Amino acid sequence: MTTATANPPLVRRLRLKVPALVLLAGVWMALMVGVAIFADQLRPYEITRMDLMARLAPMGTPGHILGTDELGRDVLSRLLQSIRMSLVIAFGATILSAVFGTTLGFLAAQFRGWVEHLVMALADFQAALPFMIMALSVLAFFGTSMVLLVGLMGFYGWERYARIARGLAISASAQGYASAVVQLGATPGRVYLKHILPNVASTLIVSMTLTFPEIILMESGLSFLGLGVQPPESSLGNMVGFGREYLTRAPWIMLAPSVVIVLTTLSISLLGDWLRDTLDPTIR
Amino acid sequence: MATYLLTRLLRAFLTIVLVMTFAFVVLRLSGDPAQIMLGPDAPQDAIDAFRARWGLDDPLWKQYLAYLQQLLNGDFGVSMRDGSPALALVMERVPATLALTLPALMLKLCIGIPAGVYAALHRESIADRGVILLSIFGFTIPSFVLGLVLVLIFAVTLDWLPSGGQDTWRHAILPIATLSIGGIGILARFSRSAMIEVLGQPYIRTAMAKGLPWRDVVWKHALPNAAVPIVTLVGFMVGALIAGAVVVESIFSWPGVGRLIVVSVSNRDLAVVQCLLLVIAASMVVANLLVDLAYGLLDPRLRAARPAH
Amino acid sequence: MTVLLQAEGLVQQYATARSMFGATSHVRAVDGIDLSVREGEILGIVGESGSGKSTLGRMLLGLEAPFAGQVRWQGRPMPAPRTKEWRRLRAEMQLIYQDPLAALDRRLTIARQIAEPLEIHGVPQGDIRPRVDALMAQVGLRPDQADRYPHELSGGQRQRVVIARALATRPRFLVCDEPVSALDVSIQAQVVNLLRDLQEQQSLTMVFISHDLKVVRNICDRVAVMYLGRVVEEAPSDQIFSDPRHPYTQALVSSIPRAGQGLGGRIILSGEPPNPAQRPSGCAFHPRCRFALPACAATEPALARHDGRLAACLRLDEPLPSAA
Repeated sequence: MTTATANPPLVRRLRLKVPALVLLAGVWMALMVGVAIFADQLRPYEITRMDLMARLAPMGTPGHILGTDELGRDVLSRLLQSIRMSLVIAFGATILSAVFGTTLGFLAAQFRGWVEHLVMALADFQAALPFMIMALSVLAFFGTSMVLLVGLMGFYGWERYARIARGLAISASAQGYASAVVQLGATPGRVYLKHILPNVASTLIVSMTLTFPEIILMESGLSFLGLGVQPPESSLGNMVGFGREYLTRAPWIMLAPSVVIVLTTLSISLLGDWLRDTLDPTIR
Repeated sequence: MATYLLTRLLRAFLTIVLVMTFAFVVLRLSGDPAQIMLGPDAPQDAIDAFRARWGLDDPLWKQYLAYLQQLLNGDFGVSMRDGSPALALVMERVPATLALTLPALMLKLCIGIPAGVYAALHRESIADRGVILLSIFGFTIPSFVLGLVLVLIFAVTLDWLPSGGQDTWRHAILPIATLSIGGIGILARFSRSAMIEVLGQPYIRTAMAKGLPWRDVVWKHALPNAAVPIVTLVGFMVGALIAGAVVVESIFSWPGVGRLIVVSVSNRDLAVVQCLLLVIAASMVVANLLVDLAYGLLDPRLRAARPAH
Repeated sequence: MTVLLQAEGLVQQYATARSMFGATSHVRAVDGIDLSVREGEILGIVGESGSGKSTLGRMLLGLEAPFAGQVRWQGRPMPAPRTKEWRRLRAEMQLIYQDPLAALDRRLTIARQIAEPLEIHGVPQGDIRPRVDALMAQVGLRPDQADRYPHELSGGQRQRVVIARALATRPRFLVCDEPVSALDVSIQAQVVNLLRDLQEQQSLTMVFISHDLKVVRNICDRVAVMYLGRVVEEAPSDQIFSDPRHPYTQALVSSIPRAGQGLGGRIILSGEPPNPAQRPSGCAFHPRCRFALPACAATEPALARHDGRLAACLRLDEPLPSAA
């Protein structure tokens, strides 16, 4: 109970020793978010613009710093657009699954009984079946579309939030502060939104930093297999997937997106670890 | 122990039923099963026969039960592409996948766990740092990137190994390496922290204080206790292995189950996809059951029957 | 004095071990209690841990529904927990907790926590701040502490916050569940005096639950002694302390240290402390009772009127040596 939360200003907390590696990770993520927001302004060419005179141009070609692909499309432009696509999907899916999982977890904690059994059985089921297999079969039945892809990714990891949220909500009710507020006459909505949610938020945010890179990997894996983001749209995964065809002649097509994927997942993992150590009082 | 086993069996059964239900729901949500299972060009009388056979005009719960019965009888429908039974098509591919996943699993266990234990016993050494570094790779490098990089180095640049196909044992080296490297790192890191935690426990200090040789402390006290959480992780790894096989088989054109699922999903060969879903889920459940069994044998608290109240 | 709250035949039981194939076993925390609380009085409930006194307190407030029996508030049955009507009733009855730190949300300032019941029960926004200031002054908190967080206050101050929050909606009935046992001894008297003053000023009705007889003697008008989920003796405070009749009460009273007297005359209870999972037959107290007869293991004594009080003992009518 030593966390002086919300009290010291954020700036002061940040000034408390942040390891250099974490700082680098933060800078990289800020860069990625910047790219995602300003992709339209930053990219030198339209992603579909073909320069048939300069097909498979290597890295460092004037005008195409990262080279071009088999149709002469600028790799840098496509990379920037892909970063946006992958990040938007990952952000959207992370938030969806956090909201969905947390809501189910709270419902299980509030109603107990069969609601709880049902939620927990679904969570077990989700944990037992590899997500990729489930995603593939859903995509097979419904065909690939952007909405379906984000929706599907939004199920990734929900069972973890559900378990965490349920556990924390139950212990909050047993601990006292939640039951004390119930006892004051508060409605369940007020108890969960104004008291339990703020108290468990840090733990949930830490789990979000854990699922976020996994969702990026999952989406890029599906796109790599040609079952995720469909052309003409482009994501990091399907860039690697198409680059694979030219592995021998033009490895740079797959190299750039691969590096971005690895650095991004690494950065979020580092940030997540650091965040867990500093923010979360439940993991000591 | 009997109660423990029974509850596990019950849960395994429940999971299978849930997967079947999931397949049923997805199948029904995606449109007319007759159209889907038989394809868009199916003649009307075939569709009618299908509807009659699967009882598609019955109430939903009756269809559900009939569906479950079909599955339990081993009838998974026929592939849209060549009309052969879906189950046979899937089973035919299983050995190829096992040829990759089993060696990969063995490598993960035989390298990952000893490396983690070694790192825990020699903290801050070069080996320890290597384990941590490798585990970070395992977490952050997707298998498709790793696979392609390996191809780039060993097949394209050095020309030591083939980049795809299934002709000789040399073809299996790169896929197995891709499948196991990340997992080795993750397992090593996990074994390391499990071991470190156990080594900090009071009973270890007691064992050391009473003058037990260090070897005995490690082998008789620390390892058996660290094994419990490690076995749990191995259960999760089976799922990761199957998901990994999907990507790796696609990269290396390895004709296994993973390749089949990607092709079937692309072609929307639904009977095969559904069959794969159920077969994979069943093998996951069996794997988890085995892990639970190992867990029960390792943890004496579960071994003893609970006192009746 | 009118009866504000009445409990009739209250029983509460909890499931203990639940295995998938075994039958559920139950433990009776409260096992048949009749009690009335009169307007404006302070009723003490004493007993060892495990005697069911906290469970009784929660049922009196309607926080949990009894397994059997009922609680009547001003003659009307207590609404079921977590219904709308039940929530509205919370403005009239409140609980003071044993551990104030656990009862407070550590992410909100104390002013916001004291304001919470006012917001919940629809007090207009403009009236809230002055009311919070008044409440803080009333319980002896400084105005500059309004923006503090619970962990920045001392234990006694936290309990004052809990009391202020409980009093915010001007309730008529308060259950204090071991309100001072988590506090330093030097602070206990301050908080007890505060509760006493507040009770007098606002003519509150209170149930004061404690295992500490010194505290109970200081504050209560009437005392009920509980043993394994039942009331074994109930009498006005001075009567209980000057002339306890039930052997268990005698033992409790004799254990209160008194100035100028040594430890002589203390009745030491022997045997196992009470365990609701294994309730002895007959009079539940008989294994530890100095005066137990074979009959005590066979017959359950009823709570009966005896010499201006209620007591449950088979040997009440015999001339027994009075305690201490």
